[in-house]
Parts: sequence; C-alpha cells; structure tokens
Amino acid sequence: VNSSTDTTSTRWSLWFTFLCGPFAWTAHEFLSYALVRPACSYGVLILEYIVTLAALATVGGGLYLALRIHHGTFTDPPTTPHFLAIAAIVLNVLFGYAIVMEAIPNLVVSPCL
Amino acid sequence: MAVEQRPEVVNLPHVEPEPEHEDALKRIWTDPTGPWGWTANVQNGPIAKRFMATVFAFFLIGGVEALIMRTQLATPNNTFVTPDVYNQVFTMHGSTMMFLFAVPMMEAFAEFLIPVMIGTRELPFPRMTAFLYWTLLFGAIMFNASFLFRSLPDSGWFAYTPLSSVPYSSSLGIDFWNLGLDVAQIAAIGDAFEIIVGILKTRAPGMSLRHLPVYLWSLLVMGFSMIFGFTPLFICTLMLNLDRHWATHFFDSSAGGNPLLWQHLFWIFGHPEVYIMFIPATGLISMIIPTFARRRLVGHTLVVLSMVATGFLSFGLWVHHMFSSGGVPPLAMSFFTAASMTIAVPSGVQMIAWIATLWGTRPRMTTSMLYSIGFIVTFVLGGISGVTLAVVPWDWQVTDDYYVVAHFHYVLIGSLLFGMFAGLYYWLPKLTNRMFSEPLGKWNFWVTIIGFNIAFFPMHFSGLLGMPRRVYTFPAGAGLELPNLVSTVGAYILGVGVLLFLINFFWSTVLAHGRETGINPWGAGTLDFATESPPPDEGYRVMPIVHSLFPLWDQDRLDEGDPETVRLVHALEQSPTHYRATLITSLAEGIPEGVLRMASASRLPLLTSIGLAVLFAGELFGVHAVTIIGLSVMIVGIWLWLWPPIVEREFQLGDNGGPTVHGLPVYHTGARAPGWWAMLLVLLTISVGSACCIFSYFYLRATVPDWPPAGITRPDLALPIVRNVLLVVSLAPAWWALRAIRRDHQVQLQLSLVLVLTCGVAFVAATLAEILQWDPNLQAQAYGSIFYLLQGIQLLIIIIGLLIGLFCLAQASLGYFNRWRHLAVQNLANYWTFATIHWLIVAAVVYVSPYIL
Repeated sequence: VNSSTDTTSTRWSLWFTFLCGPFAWTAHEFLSYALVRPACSYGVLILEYIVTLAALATVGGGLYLALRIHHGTFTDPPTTPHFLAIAAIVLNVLFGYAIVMEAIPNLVVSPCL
Repeated sequence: MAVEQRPEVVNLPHVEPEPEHEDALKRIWTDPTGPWGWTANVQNGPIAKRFMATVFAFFLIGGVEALIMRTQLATPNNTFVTPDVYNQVFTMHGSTMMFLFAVPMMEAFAEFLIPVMIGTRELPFPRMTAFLYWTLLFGAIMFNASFLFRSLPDSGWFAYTPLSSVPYSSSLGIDFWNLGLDVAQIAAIGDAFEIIVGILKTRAPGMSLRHLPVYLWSLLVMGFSMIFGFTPLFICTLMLNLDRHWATHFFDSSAGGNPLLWQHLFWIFGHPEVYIMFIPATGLISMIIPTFARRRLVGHTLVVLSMVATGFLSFGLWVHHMFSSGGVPPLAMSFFTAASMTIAVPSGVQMIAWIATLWGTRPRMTTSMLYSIGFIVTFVLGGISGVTLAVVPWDWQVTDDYYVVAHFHYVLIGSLLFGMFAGLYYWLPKLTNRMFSEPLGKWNFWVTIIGFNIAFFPMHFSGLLGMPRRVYTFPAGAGLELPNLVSTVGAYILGVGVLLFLINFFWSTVLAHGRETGINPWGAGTLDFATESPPPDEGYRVMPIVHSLFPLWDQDRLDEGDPETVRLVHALEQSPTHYRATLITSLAEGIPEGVLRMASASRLPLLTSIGLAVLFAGELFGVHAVTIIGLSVMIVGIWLWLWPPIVEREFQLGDNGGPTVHGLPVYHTGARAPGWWAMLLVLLTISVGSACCIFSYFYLRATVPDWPPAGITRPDLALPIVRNVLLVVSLAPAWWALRAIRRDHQVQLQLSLVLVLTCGVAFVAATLAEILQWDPNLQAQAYGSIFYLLQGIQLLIIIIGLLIGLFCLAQASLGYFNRWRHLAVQNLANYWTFATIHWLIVAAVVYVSPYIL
C-alpha cells in the first residue's frame, strides 16, 4: 500500500464516500415518505424539493471526494484504497440516479391524492 | 472476441507437512467422536453438513405440502383437503420454505465455505456455530410441533393482523408459528455476526478487500441484511405475542393500535428477505461461472457494487407489498415504485457480467453450470414480472392472484433452488469427497427445470384470468381448469426432479459410488479448492498467503510473500499453539495483526440452546415457571461458555510485556479484536430493534388525534430525571474501569465495576418505583403498549449490562484482567455507553415528545 495514501484520514474519507450515496438515498426516501402528508396539509411541496436537493448535494459531495481520492490513489498494481474509491464513485452515481428517480413523482403527482 | 482462458488443470501449490507437525495440529483441532461427541462438536464442516441435511429435510416437508396444495387444485371444486386444512398447508408451506429452508440453506453454505475460502482454520466463534445449529433445530421442531398438537397456523406466511390476532386465530397455531420462528430468527441473526466478523477479521494474510472473492462480498451484504431485516421481524412477532397473551394493543384498532403497523414491520423484513436469499445465491453463481468458463469474472468490481447497492435498495421497497392495503398516499407509493424499478439496475449489471464472462468461451457444461444458466434465465423472467408489479395500477390489478404466485416462485426457485443445486453440485463433493454422477445430475437438472416451468408458467395466465391465491378451490367454466391441471402435473415433475437429486446423492455419496473428489476437481481458482476433500479440521496446515483474486490460477505457491509473513505461517504449522488458534488480520489489507485463540469442543452451546428452547416453550404454553427455568439455564450456559479457559490464565503468569505467539500478540482490544466487533454488531442489532419500536411509537402517534389518549395523564418527569442522572453518572466509573485496567490498577478496576453495578441496580429500582406510579389506564390503550415496550426494552438492556458487569467483576476479583487482557471490560464500557445513549433517546421519545408533538 502506498504509505502516503494509507493515512487514517484517507481511510475515514473512503468509508465516508463509500456510504455517502446509500445513506443519502435512504434518508431521502424516508423523509420524502414522511413529508407527503405535511406537504398536503400545509401546501408546501417545497419541503420535498429541499430534501431532494440536500440528498443530491450529499451524493455530489461524496462523488467529488471519491474522485479526488481516486486520482490520489492511482498506482499500478491498484491498491485497496483505489478499489474502494472506484466503488464509492459508482455507488454515488447509482444512488444519485435513484434519488432523481424518486424525485420525479414530486413534479407530477399531487401530495393530496 | 479474444478470450483469455485458464488452463484446464490447476496444480495445487501445496506444502507437505512434517508428520509430527501434522499430528500436533490434528490433536489440537479434532473434536470428540461418536454420538456423545457429536453433541460437543463445534467444527464448521460437520456442523455445515448437519445444517444442510436438516434444512433439506424441511425443504422436502415444504415440498410435500406444496404437492398437497397442487393436488387439491388439480380439478375444480376438488375435495382432496378441506378449506381449513388447505389454509394450514399453505401457511406451513410458505413459512417452512422461507424460514426453515431458504435462509438457513444459505447460512449452511456460508458456514462451510467461509473458512476455506478466506484461508483460515475455523469460523471466529466456533461455539456460536454449534449454538446456531441447535437453536435452528429446536426452533424448527417447535414450529412443526404444531402438527402433533393438531393446531397448525393458518394465517399465511406473513400472518397479517388482525387475522392472526386472538379474535380471529384463538388456537395455539399462531403461537407455534410465532415463537418457533423467533427461535429460528435468533439463529439467523447470530449467523450474521459469525459471517461478518469472520470475513472482516480472520482472512488469510494478503487477502485485501480487492482480493475478496465475490461470494464473500455477497455474504457480507447478506450478514448486514439479516441484522437489519430479521430484527424488525423479531420486534413485530414480539408485539404480536404481547398482543395475544399480555393484553397489549399494538394491532388492535379499537384501542388505538393499527393493523397496518404489522404490515410495515413485516415487509421491512419481508422484502429484504428475498435478497437475503438471492444475493448469496448470486455469489455462488459468480464463483461457479468463472471456473467453468475458465475465465475471470467480467466486471468484478461492478458485480460487488451491485450486491452492495442491491442490499441497500432492498430496504427501500417494502411499501410495494402494501400498494393495495390502503393508508399510503399515491405520491408516497410513487417513491417506492421508483425504488422498486431502480433495483433492477444492479441486478441487471450482474446478469450482464455473467453473460459477458461466458461470451466467447466454451464452458464445461457440468450439472452445476447447467443450474447456473437455469438460474440466470429463470431469475430474469421472475425479475421482469417483478418490475411490472412495481407499477401501482398493475399491482392493484393482480394483487393476491396467481400472477404474483408465479412471479415470486420464478424469483425464489430461480435464484434460491437453482442456486442451491448449482452450489451443491459444485461444493458438496468437496465436503463429502465423492463426486456426483454427472449423467444423473443432468437428468436431475432437465426434469427439474422442465417441471418447474410447466408448474409455474401457466400460473401467470390463471392469475390474469382472475384466480385468487390462498383459496382452496376454483369454479368450473372460468377457463382455469387447463392451467391448473398443467401446473399440478408440472409440480409433480418438479418433485421427481428433486427426487433424482436425492437418488444421485445417495448413490454417489452415501453408497460411495462416486469417484473421489481429490483436491481441485473443477480447476477452480479460489482457496476453497486448495485443501483436501473434505477439508481437514484444522482447515489449512500452512495458512495460505494471497496475492490475487484467483490465487490458485495466478500464484505459483501459496506460501510465498514477504519474509515475515512466510516465517509466521510456517511457524504456526511447525510449532502450533497448544490451543486452537488462527490469525487475526486487518480489515482492509489482510495484514496479520494477532493470534486469535478459538474455543474448543463443548456441550455448553447445546445446553444454552436447550435453555432458549425451554424459555420459548414456557412462553408458548403460558407456564412462567418453565420460562424462568429456561432463562436460568441460558444464563448459566452463556456464563460458563464465556468464562476464560485455563490456558488463557496460564498466559497471564509472568508476562511483563504483552504475551505473544510467534511475534504476534495473543490478547486484543478495540477494532483488532473479533470480540469487539461482535459487541459492535450486538449493539447494532439492538439499535435496529429499538429504531423499529420508535418508528412504531410515532406511527401509532400519527394515526390517532390525541397523544396520550383522553383519560391518560402525561407521565411525570421526576423519576425519569433521576434515572437519567443515574445512568449518565454511571458512565464515569464504566470508563474509569477501563482506564484503571490499562494501567494495571486492579483495586481501582474492582471499585469502578462495583460503582457501575450500583448505579445500574439503582436505575432498575427507580424504574420499578416509577412503574408503581404509572397510570393504570395505560393498559387499555396502544399508547400504553408502546410505552411499556420501550421501557421494557430499556430495562432489559440494563439487566443484561448488569450481568456483563457481574461477569467482569467476577473475573476482576480473581485477577484475570491485566493491561493486555481486558476486552470484556472494554466491551462493558462500550455497552454501558450505548445503554445510556439508548435511554436518553427512549426518554426523549416517551417523556418529552408528548409535550411537543
């Protein structure tokens, strides 16, 4: 392992970016679900939009960090931090897609139906 | 397309042992033999065999139940069984297949394969392995004992309330279902600990995460999914039991409860349950295909990530089982539609990876490979019908009809059954040292897959024609006669297919007509085919050093690497410890960190498991004295089980520095210690359970206008504040105890432990005093039920903490702890901190939130 990359901060950053997407998506789904009735009662669908934007910002942050670590850990042969960085990039992209998919109904379905 | 294929034969880079070294290792690792010795066995190999045989027996029972159903439905208005018996049979079939066959079979594979695949000697907690087997066995017996009492459950495998509540199911049937399955769930959660800690902390030197075979990744996902999935099930079945026998009202709508709460909690378990079975099955397939294609898995990283993503996504789909239940707004349903469709993406990635791996190769079409291809085709069909069910209008149209039955059988049989057969044909010869008959295996495959499709494909049409599931008959003249008759014929053909497997097994293995397996019959590239068949008790004589994802394909030898690691693995073989031991390695890189002392053969797991079964049996029949006896046996069993053996005490003598073996430390604390990880997972499990209870609290709160309901006063805050203070104050001695032993201050350690215990006992006393002040009207409302439940869980957490504290104090008073060896004290500090934080959250929910929300 490249000693310059095997620092505690890099390890923590890696696990953070690895879990960023899944946790952002989980929070997005649960909060979106919980906010449907308040959105109808108070007529404020903007709460749903804020949750989506916050989730996408989290995923975007995770993706940015993962890309930085990916560039910083590139060696031949590849190392475990590099493997985890690639994993984090893919997971953030996938869960970003899932968040967008879940946000689309907010644009077309009324919360009061 | 140019394809780099591996050579047909892979030679084993094996290290021949010196005879005297081999004898020493064997003496240490061999369990007692004979029937009496059998009860003390803790080796993963024999226990995995028992696990497989036991759950296969339940699979046959579930299969016979399926044939009874199909016989009844062969013709319209048939009277082969009565409606009541039909209800019981479909409940037993679903429950047996889901709880006693599907998940346990995947656990059995894991128990056998993990040690050999990660290159270690044994699973990290061998007595736990034995305990899990006995627990599953007793739970399954308790569940099936309902046959003897002629009181079978009849509410379907998901036992919806209020159908499963006392007014509609007053017999013991649901209680057999409930408590028997609770015992089996404990086995599943315990297995998750074993799987996760084993894979993360006891891999072969050099096996970093990027060299971790796909199957082991799938087991990690399965392990965490079992913790997050089975715990909600445990909570909701606990609530059902409390409703049925302890006068609570969680699901009683006339007292502020809500039957839909059951559906939420059940499906938070129930949907991931499918992936708990499916993901390890995909892991098996991802190991088999590269071997027979003689090519590395295409997109290894993407396949791993697909599994991880599928594991997460599977917990966000549960509401699609409730689209037709009402109570979920259409916008909210749309979120779950989106999630349900999104999960097709990672599943699709795996399919494409397998096809790409096979593309351009000439794979060996063994029976195992045929089943792998059957897996892919069948699961794609089931997956496509699954995507249609994510669409709300379509789901409304086909809910509870045979289209759904066809869908989930394509998914479950496609993934689990075909995955299991692929795995059995691939790995069972390794475990038994006898190869299956390939011609008979191919007959087995073709009869099974043809029978399966004849049985289940017509159900799509009978469903679309409107045939409801769970109804014991159907009328003539509705166009349902032909598809039902064809399905019944197919079911019997499928049964013949399973019978052919049994014949093959007995002919090849039991009667020993199959040729001997040898070491690597398929030319596989992973470590599971690096040892003899069956793998010896010690696993590996010289523990392997790994530099590749396919070490048997890529490495010339398995004992080459950096000089220090080479010296270590040979030293462990030539001069083994006089107790069972394996290596602890670092989480990410697989670097040796220490030597892990492992438990030897013992009957304490059996005793503990008997205690657990007696406890639940006492609860089942409402005999509280029996419950208390079972609980006492359990506590004694666990205490003796965890009590350090003499060999560890010997280490304590005369060590000024840290005791080491071959240069590696033997005592561990913190993230290096498997026991620390096990405690972390215990706390995670309790957290999930408590989160379910808190979710239930707010769910019930959201469905009633007044909280607390009219006539119930808000709880007084005086005693809760005292309890807060007691626990927060007790944190100081809990951490002082750890600080003291790190400096070898024995007296300070004991005093700190006594202080912790005193605070804990005072907390329990304050709780009991508060209970006397609680409004008696609480008992009449769901508000009171959830209030009691959260308080009860907190009380239980503290009582368990007191037992851990007593355990530590007993060892401390005998001088067993020192600055090197004090994991139990560290675990107590962590546990006590968790218990305090847990209480602060519970107190905020039950005492503060009624004033705010």
